Amino acid sequence: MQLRTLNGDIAKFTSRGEAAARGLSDFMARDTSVAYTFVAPAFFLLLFLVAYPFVLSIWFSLSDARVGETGSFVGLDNFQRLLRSDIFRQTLKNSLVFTSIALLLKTIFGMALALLLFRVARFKRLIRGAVLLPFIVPTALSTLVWWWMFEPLYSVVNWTLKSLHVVNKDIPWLPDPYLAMFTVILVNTWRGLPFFAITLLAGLVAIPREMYEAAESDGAGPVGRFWYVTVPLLKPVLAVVILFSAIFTLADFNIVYILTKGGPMNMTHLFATYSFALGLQGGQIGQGAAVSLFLFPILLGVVFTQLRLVRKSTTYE
Amino acid sequence: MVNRRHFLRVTAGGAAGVLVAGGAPAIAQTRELTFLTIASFVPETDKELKRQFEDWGAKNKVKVRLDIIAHLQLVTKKASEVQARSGHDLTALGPGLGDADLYFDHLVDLNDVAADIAPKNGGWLNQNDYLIRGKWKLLPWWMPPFPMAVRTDLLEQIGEKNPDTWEDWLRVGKKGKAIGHPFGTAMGHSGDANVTLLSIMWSYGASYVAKDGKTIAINSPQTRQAMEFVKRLYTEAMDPEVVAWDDASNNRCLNAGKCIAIHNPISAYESAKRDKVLVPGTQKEIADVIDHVNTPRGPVDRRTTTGYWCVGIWNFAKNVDLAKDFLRYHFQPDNQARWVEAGHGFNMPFLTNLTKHPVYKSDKQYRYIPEVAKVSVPPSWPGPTTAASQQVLDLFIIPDMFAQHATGKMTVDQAIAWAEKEIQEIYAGRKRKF
Repeated sequence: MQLRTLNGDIAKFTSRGEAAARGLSDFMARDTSVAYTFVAPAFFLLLFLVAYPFVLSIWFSLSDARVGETGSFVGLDNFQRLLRSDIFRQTLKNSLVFTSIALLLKTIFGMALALLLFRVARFKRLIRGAVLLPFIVPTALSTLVWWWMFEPLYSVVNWTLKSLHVVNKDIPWLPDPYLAMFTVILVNTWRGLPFFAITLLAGLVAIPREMYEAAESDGAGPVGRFWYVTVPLLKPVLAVVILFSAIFTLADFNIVYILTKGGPMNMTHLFATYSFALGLQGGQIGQGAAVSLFLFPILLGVVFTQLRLVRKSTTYE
Repeated sequence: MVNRRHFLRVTAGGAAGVLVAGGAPAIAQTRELTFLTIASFVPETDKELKRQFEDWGAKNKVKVRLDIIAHLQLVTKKASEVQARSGHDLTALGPGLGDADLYFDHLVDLNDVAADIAPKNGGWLNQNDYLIRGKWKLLPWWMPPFPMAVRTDLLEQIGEKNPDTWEDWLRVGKKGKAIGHPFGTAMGHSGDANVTLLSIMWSYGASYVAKDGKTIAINSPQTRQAMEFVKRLYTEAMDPEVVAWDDASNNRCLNAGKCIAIHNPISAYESAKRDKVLVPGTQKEIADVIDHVNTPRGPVDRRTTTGYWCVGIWNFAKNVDLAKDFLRYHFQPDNQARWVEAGHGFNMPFLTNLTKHPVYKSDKQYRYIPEVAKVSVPPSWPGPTTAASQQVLDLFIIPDMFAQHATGKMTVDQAIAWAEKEIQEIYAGRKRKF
């Protein structure tokens, strides 16, 4: 029996290994194929680890799924029910307050820290490494230390303040709703600051020295140099950092879960902690998914505008 | 010589063989029973459980694996095992009986096991409480009863004797607070807050759901009365920090020598005794000046609840029969007795005979534990335990209602209306489709 290929040649029987090797080398010879081959693992990883769970969670949010049950389609019922819940409305408020204040603080202090680090000449590496620590230490661990510092009975912060006669009674860091919010914002800021500082520092290093020299010779002082050289040139970096941080901050879970569990009186519940309480503790996966997806459309808008802004500001005229 | 290619061919062939055969070679197959449980507050309990499990495994030639995790991790672990329909055979469930309703379709019926266990142990304490939709979907395993732990030296100092009612404890707390030793009960997002505040509600004749498990009963004059009482307790007898307390805070408050009394299982006393904690500024051991008395009585009732820890078998378990067999073994009277003894009475089974265990007479501290167990009811009382009743606890609706009024954030009517609406939503969203 003869085997014929499409163009009529008689196919030669070759050992399987040889054919595969030749096929592979032909395939690899094409640039685009190579590109696709190398992109494929990342693509499949994204598909299975990001896209699949994401689509699944959208389905969950539109269904009455419970743990172990796929549930049936209920439209926007979950979202409507959430909007009727006072706890959810409180969570929404908390999340917005938490994210905006923490972002603002991280931007201001992150910028200040980056400028300081930029000026540090001795022990540069050691100091830059040390600054990254809050970001590297597992959040659950570092937050436990913060909890211990603010814990009502043994708070070292209160003990120190009382010993220094700054206050004469315990400050209710975690029991007071507003102070509790302040505390979770503080810890989030502390944790996120290195990310801002180090990324902005990288941006600062990339700014050509000539720009500053030119500004200086034009008579610009330190403030002028900061506003008219540093800030405009850092804008793209800053926008990306704020974008990432906004997403991370909004999705924070560990800090609130360890410090307050969403209390007192739900005044520190964030989307993630409330979603956990509903979806995993209560087994109402549909409701839980609706909580975590609630801000998705808004977030999408923010990401879109911010990325557009970044693109615009990087094209120099 | 074995070269790389040869090695690959051989190993690939072997792996393919295993796949075709659909399992490991017979020689590698042994029966294995796995059990997921939570770390006990009295670690000796876990050691005894492990001993029994291994003992049973050796007798039945079954490989056993006991995985002990922190109780806070159990929630996610259960959910993920059910979602994946794979995991352990036996699992700890709770706190609360709510898992029986929540995971009703994923748990094996244990009617036969429950029926075998009961006669050997003098019967179940309150059998009807544990039947969920008429079935034994889990076995109630152990509870830590909630007596009142009190510092006897401080009680003497303020000239009080045998406080018994909630009003008595308010008075004790007031006097205590005046000398720097307030009363302490959690009012935040913690299990203890649910327990104590529900106890107070019931003691004043209030409840959040009626017996039918459908009618939301929280908007009542009795709830108002209970809330006014808690507001006084909060402002006059406690420190404001209680709204941020977790389950360990009251233990710390008592053992640090600060609190005059706490409503809590005997775990605080146990750790004070074990660690030989001293009363601050003295050489006196704090365990020597702690006493435990009955859970308080209110104007209407004496009633409390606690964490109902349970055990069940997933219906996707590989070894349902073996798991049932181990449960029968573990619930044998002598094994239960040893297990209770190891736990120093902290882990009280829901079996009548075990409430008379000698451990409760071994130390005068434990004398009220059986009394407390008798008035302990599931948190959904008087309604049945359902996924909805469990969610009321998980979202801390009751503590938040009390705290919002006590801290002055809301009036009593606003706080009740808030809770009523939240509970109604939870119950409405949980209506079962039949």
